[in-house]
Amino acid sequence: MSKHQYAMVMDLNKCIGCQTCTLACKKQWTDGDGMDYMYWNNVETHPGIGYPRGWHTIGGGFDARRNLRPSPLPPKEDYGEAFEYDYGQRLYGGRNKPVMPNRPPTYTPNWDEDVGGWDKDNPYFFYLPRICNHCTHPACLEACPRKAIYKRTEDGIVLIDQERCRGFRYCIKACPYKKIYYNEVTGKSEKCIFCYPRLEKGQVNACAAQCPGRIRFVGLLDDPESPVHKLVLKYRVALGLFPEKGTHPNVFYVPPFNPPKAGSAGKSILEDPRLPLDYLIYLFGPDVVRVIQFMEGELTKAQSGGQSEVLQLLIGRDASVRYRVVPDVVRAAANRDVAQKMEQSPAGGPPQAILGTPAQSGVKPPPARHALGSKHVPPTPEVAMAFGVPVDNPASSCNTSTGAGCAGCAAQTACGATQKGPRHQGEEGMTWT
Amino acid sequence: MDLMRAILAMAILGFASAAAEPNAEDKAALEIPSEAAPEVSIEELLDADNAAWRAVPAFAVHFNRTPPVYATDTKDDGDRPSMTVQVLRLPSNDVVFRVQWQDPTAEQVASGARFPDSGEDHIYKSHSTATDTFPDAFCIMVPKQRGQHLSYPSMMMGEGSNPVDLYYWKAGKGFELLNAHGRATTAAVAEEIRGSARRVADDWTVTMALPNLTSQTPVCFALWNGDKDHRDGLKYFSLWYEVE
Repeated sequence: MSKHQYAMVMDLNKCIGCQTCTLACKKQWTDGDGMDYMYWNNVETHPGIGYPRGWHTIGGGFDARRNLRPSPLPPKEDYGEAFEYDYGQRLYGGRNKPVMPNRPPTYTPNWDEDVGGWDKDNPYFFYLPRICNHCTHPACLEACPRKAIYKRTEDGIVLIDQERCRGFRYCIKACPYKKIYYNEVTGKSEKCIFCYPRLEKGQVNACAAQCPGRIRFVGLLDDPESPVHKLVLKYRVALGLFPEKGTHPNVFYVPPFNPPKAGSAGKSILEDPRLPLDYLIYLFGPDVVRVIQFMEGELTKAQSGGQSEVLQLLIGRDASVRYRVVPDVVRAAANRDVAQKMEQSPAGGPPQAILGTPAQSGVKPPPARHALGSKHVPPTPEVAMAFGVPVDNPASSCNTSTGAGCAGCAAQTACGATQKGPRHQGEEGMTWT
Repeated sequence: MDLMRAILAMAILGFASAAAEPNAEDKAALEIPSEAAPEVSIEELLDADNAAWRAVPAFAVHFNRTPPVYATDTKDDGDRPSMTVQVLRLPSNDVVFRVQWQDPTAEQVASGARFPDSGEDHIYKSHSTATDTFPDAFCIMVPKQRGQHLSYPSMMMGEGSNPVDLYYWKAGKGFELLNAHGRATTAAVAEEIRGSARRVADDWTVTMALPNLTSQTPVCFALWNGDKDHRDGLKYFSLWYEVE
């Protein structure tokens, strides 16, 4: 279990589908060989098919009994081919013929851009930006027979050890979001790294930094001062995608409910929604109704001259409001982890496995955490609050899923502060053979 | 009833004795004969058409299949392939294997492709083209500790007290030496493996040189059929054999 968990919130009411985040990520991370079709960040139109084609209908994640339910492996055709052009031609090249891809496109990211749905005279769609969800219970991690995938204890970021990976692609089948890609040239699988090298330098993720719509909020979920903590745990207006898949994603979305449907003046959003509620429930679970009700109330309050803290936060005018990147806190957690492991090491020396992150030590990242046992690890109080799961602490009555708040803590937003420190059972005695 | 008990006791006794002491015929069946190599180099023997192979008896190795890992894995279609194995032993105790098996569909590692119709400039030198395919592959597993073994290593990539070397060939990529001491512990070793592979009609033929394979060293074989999405532990495997 991670000591901290970096998380991201995206306000879907503000996304304009400009793909600047997509290009920021592409330019930063996936312009190498064999990575042509990789979009660690992609933005797709919904209702829609998605990227890869039909990812949200083919399976992945866990079933109700916590067994993996892997999907078939998406064929390359469901990603399409990256466009290449006759670059020497440049624009029209003096000929009356526009520059076109050399091969006729058959599928691309956002293939069905702006198609959406149609209800009588009301066309509707919204954009869904997607990155790896850096899940609390990553199905990819559990599926990897080589334990090449690990979740960093210091910040919860899920990474693939490129030295361990042998390209078996069980992870791709297991991921319900299909956010892992196979690189043919290297023979290994690759995925979003939540820009951890940037975070370690105090910089926010490239996709967030470049977002013109300022839709993204980044911080530690367990940091009461972080915007993601406030949006997910305090105001509870951000939800994970497909919660029934059982992986507990750490990327959250403020569901799209604005603007109201044309001609619906005087009606509530739930009474006359622009987007079919069924589809939003399909994506975000039934809690989306509560969120929309709450947000409509906040809108009404603000429109009546009142103050809405959550709307002020969601406007996110300044970077300082949207991001709270705390490399010192994460580094201290990593150092505590190292110290703890050194104490536990029979030889008294530092186990090679936990010498820290590349930025700190120059060695490869800590190897895979326990793959099979992670689903049995009790969640920290903070994470338990986030996901509404029971906390293994009789002194606490935290239960955000029922709306009962946190009666056992001094402050609703700092539940963990009055309970015993972050636990990390399951790490002791772990092997990564 | 007494008769039945007697029959049952005899059956158990017979099974127990058979398990404890395999008869000579069974033991012989698990030995792969090797021939002394003529005076030619290993490099020449790696040519599957080299005349030296014509006189070497072919031994049939039969395979079983590991159980599928996931419900979405390719179902076991009951196919149980076999391969012919020929072995030539050099005076140095280096051994050259020549194996041949039938596989109507040849799947090779997709290792990216440069689109030829994109002019001089490319954004990507290589595109990924077939991300859902898996290559055919073949492997010989031998204990790291060569020579006769009273106890064979675990079939699941050996164990801590009995590690293994894996001489691995992957179609379209080539040869690789891996070490392992248990399931999911395989690690590549930077050591050149001498071998060759060719595809003729429906057959793969692979030759591979294994250094210092002293007599009675156990060996076992594994086959991956890419057409059936085989990879990792999803494969065909043989019993342990001893090379004469």
